[in-house]
Amino acid sequence: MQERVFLSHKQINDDLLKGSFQTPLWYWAVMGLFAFLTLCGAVAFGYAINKGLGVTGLNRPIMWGFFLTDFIFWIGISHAGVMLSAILRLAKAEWRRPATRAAELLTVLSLMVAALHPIFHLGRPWRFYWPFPYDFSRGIWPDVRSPLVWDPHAIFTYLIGSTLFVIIALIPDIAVLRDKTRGIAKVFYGALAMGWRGTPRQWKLQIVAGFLLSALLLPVFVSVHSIVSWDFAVNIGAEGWHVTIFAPYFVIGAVHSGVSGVVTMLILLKWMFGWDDYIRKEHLESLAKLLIVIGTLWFYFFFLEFIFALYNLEDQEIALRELQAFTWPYNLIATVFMFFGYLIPVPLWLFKKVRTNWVAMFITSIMVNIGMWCERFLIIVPGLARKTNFNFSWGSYTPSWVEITIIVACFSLIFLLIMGFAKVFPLIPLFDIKEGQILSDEIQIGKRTVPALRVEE
Amino acid sequence: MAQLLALYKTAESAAQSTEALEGAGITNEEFDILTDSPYPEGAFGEKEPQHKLYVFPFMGACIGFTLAMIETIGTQTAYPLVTGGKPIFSMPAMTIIAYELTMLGAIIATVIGIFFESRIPNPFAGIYDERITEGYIGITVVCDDSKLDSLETLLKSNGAEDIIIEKQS
Amino acid sequence: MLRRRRTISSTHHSHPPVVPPNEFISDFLEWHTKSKPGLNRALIVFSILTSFGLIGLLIKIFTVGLDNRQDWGYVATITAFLFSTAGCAPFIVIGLRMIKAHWRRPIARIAESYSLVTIVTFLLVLLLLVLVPSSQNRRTIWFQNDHIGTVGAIPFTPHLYVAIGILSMVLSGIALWWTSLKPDIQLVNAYKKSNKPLSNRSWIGGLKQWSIQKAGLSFLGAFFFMSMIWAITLYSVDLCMSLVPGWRDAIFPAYQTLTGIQGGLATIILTMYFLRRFGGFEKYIYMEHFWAASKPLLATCLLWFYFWFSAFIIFWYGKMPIEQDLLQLIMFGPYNIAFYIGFMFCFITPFLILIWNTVRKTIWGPPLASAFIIVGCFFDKLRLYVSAYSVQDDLSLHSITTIPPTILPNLSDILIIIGGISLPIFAMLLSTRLFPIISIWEMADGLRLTKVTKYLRTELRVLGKPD
Repeated sequence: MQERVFLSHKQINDDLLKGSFQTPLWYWAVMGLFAFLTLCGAVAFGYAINKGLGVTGLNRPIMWGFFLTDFIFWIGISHAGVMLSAILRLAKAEWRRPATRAAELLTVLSLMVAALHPIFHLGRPWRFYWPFPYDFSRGIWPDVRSPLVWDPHAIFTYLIGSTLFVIIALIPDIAVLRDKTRGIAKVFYGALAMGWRGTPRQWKLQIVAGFLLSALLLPVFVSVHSIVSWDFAVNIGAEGWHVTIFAPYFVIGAVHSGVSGVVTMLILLKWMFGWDDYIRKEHLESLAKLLIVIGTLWFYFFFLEFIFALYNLEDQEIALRELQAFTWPYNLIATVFMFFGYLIPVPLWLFKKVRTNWVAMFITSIMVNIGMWCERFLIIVPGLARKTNFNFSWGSYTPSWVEITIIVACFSLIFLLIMGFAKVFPLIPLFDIKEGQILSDEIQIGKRTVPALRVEE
Repeated sequence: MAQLLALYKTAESAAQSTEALEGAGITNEEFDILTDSPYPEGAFGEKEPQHKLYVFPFMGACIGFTLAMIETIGTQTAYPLVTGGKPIFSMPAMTIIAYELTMLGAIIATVIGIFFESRIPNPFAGIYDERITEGYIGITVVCDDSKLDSLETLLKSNGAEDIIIEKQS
Repeated sequence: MLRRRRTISSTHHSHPPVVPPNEFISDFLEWHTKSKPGLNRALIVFSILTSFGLIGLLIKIFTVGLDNRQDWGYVATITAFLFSTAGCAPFIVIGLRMIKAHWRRPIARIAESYSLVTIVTFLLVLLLLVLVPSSQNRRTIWFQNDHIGTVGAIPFTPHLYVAIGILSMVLSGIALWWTSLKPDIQLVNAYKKSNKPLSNRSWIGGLKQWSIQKAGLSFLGAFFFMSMIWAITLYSVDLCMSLVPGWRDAIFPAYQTLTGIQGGLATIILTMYFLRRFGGFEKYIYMEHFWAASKPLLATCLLWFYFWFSAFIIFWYGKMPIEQDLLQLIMFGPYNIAFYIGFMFCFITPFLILIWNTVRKTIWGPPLASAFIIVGCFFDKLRLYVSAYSVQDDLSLHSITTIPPTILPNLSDILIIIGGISLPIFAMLLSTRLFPIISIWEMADGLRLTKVTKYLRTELRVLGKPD
C-alpha cells in the first residue's frame, strides 16, 4: 500500500540537509569510535609491513584467507549501487528514489575499501602497482592473460564509473547547499556546483545522463565480479574452484549481499536522521520483494554449483565437500552461511508483516551479510586447505589478531566515510524526491482514488 | 540589454506567465526556466533542448578500445612470454581487457559530454536567485532596456512574487 | 474495423489513443467473432506443415527405431528449440505481471497460449527418454554410483523425474492459460449468446471471483516459474550434458534457461508484430510495446554472451585435454558452422540492431532482432544436442575418446524440423481462431487505469498504480 507524503520543497531541503547543518553529540561519539578502530587497523597493517606476512594466519597451502574473503565481500557490497540505482532507474521504478544515493555511495566506498585488500595481503605491499603496464624503460609488462591483471582493470573501471555517476547526480543537490550556506562553505559548494542553475537543458541532460550512465555501468557491474570470480574459477589446481558457474554465482551473491547492505543502511539513516517521510514502508517492502527474487536466484546458482561440484564423483572434490559440511569449524560456518544467507531471511520475507517491520528487516539484512561473508570464506579457504592430492601438504587456517583488526577497521572505515559524507552532502537525492512528487497524480475509478504516475514518453 | 528574472511560488502561475510572454511576442527561444527539480518536458512551453550527448560514448568507446589494443598487443609483442600454453595473442583475454577499457572510455567521455552539453562549469552563467532551490520557479528573459517595464508589469500581473533585473553594460 | 479515436498531441509528446474500456471490449469482440478467411487459410497451411513433423517422426520410428541415439539428435534439437521459444513464453508475462508492467496487457494471452505447445514437447521428451540410459554408474545429478554406494537410492532416475518435472511445467502453463481465459470465455459466449459446454457459467465476475483469479494467477505464475527452471535444468542435463562423458558445465542449465527467456521474448515480439500487421491491432499494439520489449531483449542478448563466455573462458583457460575436446565437440569442431550462426544471430546481430534507441523505437526493429534470435536459437540447440547425441563413447568414461563427425539431417529430420517450427505458429493461429487472443479483462483493466491529462502547458499520460 502506498503512503504518499506531499511536502514543500523547502521542507524537503530542511529535512534532508539536516545532517549537513546539525551535528548532534552522538555523531561525534560514533565518528570517534570508527576513527579509532580505523586507526587500529592502520597500526596493524603497519605492523604487518614491518614484520612480514608471517604475523597473519596465512601459510602454505592457505595463502588466501580473511583478506581475500573480505575483498570479495566488499566487491559484493559494491553491487548494490548499480542494482538499485541503474537497474531501477532504467525500469523507471518510483520506489528507488530515496535509496539511490546511499546505494551509489556504498558502491564507491566499498570498492575503495575492497581495492585495499589485495595490498594488505601482498608480501611486499609497496609493489602493488606492478599489475599496471608502467615500465617502459625495462620493457617488462604484466601478463594480460592473467585474471590478476584483468582484476585491476575491472575494479578501476567500475570505481571510476561509479564515482563519476555519484558526482554527476550530486551537482543539483550541491547547488542547493550552495544557496543555503554562507562564507567558506558557500565558496566550497559554489565551486563544486560549477554554475548549476536548473535550466531545462541541464535537467534534461541530468536525466539522459542518468539513463546513459546506468546503461553503461550495468555491463561493467556484471563484469567486475565475474572477473573476480575468474581469479578462482580458471584455476585448475584448487579443488572446488574450477566450475563454470562461478561468474553468475558471484554476481548474484554480490547483488544479494549488496541490496541487503543498502536495506541496513537505509534503516539506519531513517533512525539516525528521522527520515520517516522519505524512507517509508513501501520502499522497505519493495526492497524485500526484490531480495526474495534475488535470494532465490542465488540459491538456484548455489544448488547448481554444489551438485556439479560432486558431478564427477572425484575423491578430492568429495573430500572437500565433506570438509566444508562436516568438519569443524567449517561445518559451523556452513550452517551459519546457509541459515543466515537464505533459509531464515527469505522465508521470513514472504510475510508482509516482516517485510514492513523495520527491526525485522534490519536484523534479516544483517543476517544475510553475515551469511554471505561466511559463504566467501567457505569458497576460498577449504579449497586451498585441500589443494593438493597429498594430505601431508594439507593445512588449516586460523586468522591472527592482525587480520581481524584490519577487517574490523575496514568496516569502520566504511561507516566513517559514510558518516563523513552525510556531513557534507545529502544522502537522499533532493531533486529525485521533488521529481517524484511532481510526477505523482491520482485517478478516480468509481469511489476509489487510485494513486497514479505521470509518464513522459 | 538586460536580464530579468521573475520568481513564482507555483508552477501554474509560472506556466501562465510563459503563455503571456508568448502572447507578448517573446518566443520560447528568448526565455528560460529555472527550477530546483526536473519538470516534464514542455510543462512551461519552453524550447525542447537539443543535444548530441550520444556521440560522446561512441567516441570514448573507440578511444578506450584503441588503448586496450595498444596495451594488449603492444605489451605482449614487446615481452612475449607463453604462459599456460596460451598463444601470445589470446583473444579471450584480450576481449576482457578491451571490454573494460572500452567501457571506461565510454563512461569518461559521457561525463565529459554531460559537462559540455550542460554548459558547466560556468560561474558566469547568468541571472539567478537562491530562492530557486527553495522551490520557486524562475523565468529569465533577455531583452532590450526599453521592454523592461512592460515585461515587468506583464509578469507581475501573472503572479510573479519578485522581479530581479540585471542590466548588462 | 476498429474505430480510431482522435489523439491530441502536444509540442513535446504524442500519445497513443486511450480508448475507453467499453469501446475496446465491443471492438475486440466484434473482431473476434467475425469470420477471418485469411486466418483459416493460414491455419490449413500450417496444419499441413505441422503434420509433416508427425510424418517425419513416424518414418524415423519405423525405419531406425529407438536403439541408436545418433539418429535422434535433430528430434532432441527441435524439442529443445520448442522449449526455448514457445515453452518459455508464458514466463515473460509472469515476470511482467510480477513487476506490474502496464505494457504486458496486449501480449499476456499470446504468451500464455504458447503453453499449449508444451503438450507436444512433453510427448517428444517421453520419446527421447527411451534413448537415455539409466543414471546408474555414470555421471549425472542423481548420483547413482557404486563408487559412493548409492545405486538404487533414488529409483527410476532420470526418466521418472524428468517426466514429472516437464509435466509440472506443462500443467502449470495450461492452468495459467485457462485461469486467465475464464473471464473472457464467458464474455465471448455472452456476446455470441452461446450456451456451449465451455461457456463456464460459473464465472459471473463477482469481486470474490476476481480476487481468487488474481491470487490463482500469482500462485500458478510462481509455480510455472519454478517448474520451468527445474524442467529446463533436467532437460538440459539429463537429455544432453550427461550423454557426453567429461562434460561438466555447472552453468549449462542456467544458460539454457536464459536462452529460453530470450527465445520466449523473441517469440512474443514476433507474434505481436504479426498480430498487429495482419490482425489490424494498431490501436492496441503500438510502438511503446515494442520499445518496452526491446530493452529486456537487448539485456538477454548481452546475457547470452555473458553465460556463453563464462563457460568458454573456464574451459579455454586451463588447457585441460578433457575440456579442449569438449570445446571441439560443441563449438569449434564438427558443428562450428552451427555455433557461429548461433553466436551471430543470438548475440552479434540483435545487439547491433537493438543498441540504437532510434531502432528500438520502431515497430520493425525489435521484430527483426527477434527473427534473428529465433533462427540463432535453433542453430545453438543444434550444435549442442546433435553433437551430444552423436557421441558413441561409453558414458562411464572420464572423457570422450573421439570427436564424432558431423551428422547432417536426413529426410525424416528435415520433415521433423519443418513440423517443429510450424507447430507454435499453428498453435497460435488455432488459439486466435478459438479464443480471444488479447486478454480482454486485462486490457480493460489497463485502459481504466490510463488517461491523458493536461499538466501545465503539456499533456502527459497518467498510469494508475493501485498496489
